[in-house]
Amino acid sequence: MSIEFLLPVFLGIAFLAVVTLITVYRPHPHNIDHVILFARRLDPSDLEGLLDAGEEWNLRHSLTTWAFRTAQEDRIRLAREYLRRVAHNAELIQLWVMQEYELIEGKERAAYTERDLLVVEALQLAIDLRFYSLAACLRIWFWMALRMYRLPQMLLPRVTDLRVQCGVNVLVKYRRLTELAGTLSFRYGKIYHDRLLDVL
Amino acid sequence: MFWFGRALQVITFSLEVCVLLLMRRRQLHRKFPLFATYIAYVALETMLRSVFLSKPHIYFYVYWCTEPGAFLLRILAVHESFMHVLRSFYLLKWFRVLFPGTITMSLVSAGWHAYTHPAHASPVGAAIIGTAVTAQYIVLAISILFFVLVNLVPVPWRIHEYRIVLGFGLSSLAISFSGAVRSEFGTRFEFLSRMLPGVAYILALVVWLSAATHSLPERVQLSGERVSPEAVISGVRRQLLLIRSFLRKG
Repeated sequence: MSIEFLLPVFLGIAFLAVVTLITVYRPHPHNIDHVILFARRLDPSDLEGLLDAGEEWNLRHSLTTWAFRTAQEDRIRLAREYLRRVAHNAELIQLWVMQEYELIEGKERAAYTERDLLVVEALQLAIDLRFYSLAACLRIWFWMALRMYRLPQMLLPRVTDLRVQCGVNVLVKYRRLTELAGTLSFRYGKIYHDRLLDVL
Repeated sequence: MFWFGRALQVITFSLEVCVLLLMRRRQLHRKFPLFATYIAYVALETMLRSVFLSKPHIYFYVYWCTEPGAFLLRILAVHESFMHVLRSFYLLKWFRVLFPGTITMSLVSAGWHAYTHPAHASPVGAAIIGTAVTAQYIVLAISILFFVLVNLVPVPWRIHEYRIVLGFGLSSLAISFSGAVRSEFGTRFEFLSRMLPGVAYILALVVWLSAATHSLPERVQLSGERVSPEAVISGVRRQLLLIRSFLRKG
């Protein structure tokens, strides 16, 4: 069978599969309560420590090759966990902020208030972070699947490389996103603001 | 075959008119101007083609003169729904350039390639056919991308946009598949390759009709929204006035 025949067949299967998936698992709207309920706690300074090039250099030069490989395996696992939390929290914030964005959808950009601009910025950051997480998690998946932490020291993957992916600096963007989420939550009152900052 | 084709056209035209009327009634044409234009254009096109269905020579010219407008409007209409739901993606500069850029480049490249290498047709005819085939794949690709992105980045459920894209996806899938069957098996499954697009388009119209029966949702109001301090003060003043007047009466 030729590619001209197989192409629409494969596209058809893909189309019907995604339609079925979206029909069965329909997305639900999220609000700030969902962010507070489902957010996974992540201290950006922990992530900063993990992605610190100096610390990795220190480990590389102070540990034996075998010990460094073991440490690097743990560090990769930890990075995966942290990045999953970043992706999860970014998704929650994005879904909440999208509700706010719907309110300003028809508005001219010139008529945006300061708050509207913050909503747009938060949405951009959340999307950037979600793309970042996809790329970073894919990279980690390859490291884990190919057991690259067992390679010779020169070829060992560097966790610090995960700091910037697709032009996105995860630490800078995540910090700014949580800051914006905090600012936007003031609309709901101080209690919401405090609770949100507490869980993020 | 002729009467089946005629019946399909009558059903198609009736459904298109129903969709248009329902859209007008629910004020959906304001939110989906390109989709409404597409349906109106296709209804007009169906009517025109029905008139010349028994005259193949004229039908040929009517078909190929009206087809470019239909596939351009089809892409614009599906893109309109895509943009409504995934508008936040357009905040990313690279996406804003890459997505419409890829669509335009694909259409131009397919049209140009067919124009410069015409096979069994005039250059203009080959360009129209090449672009039309590419347009179907583009619509199908946009539909798949739409549902993949919605799965990947869950966004609020919007019934109109989802059903509009679903209808376009089904219709494009059937057109591409029937073209592939024709190309692979020749006239062996002629009934299938000729009638499948029409039947699938009716299915798409039913899906669009089901979307048009839903009214536009009310604007979302945020729960727990804070009342402005000025509103609180004016409320307190009003209540104080009421209390004072009550005390005076007492």
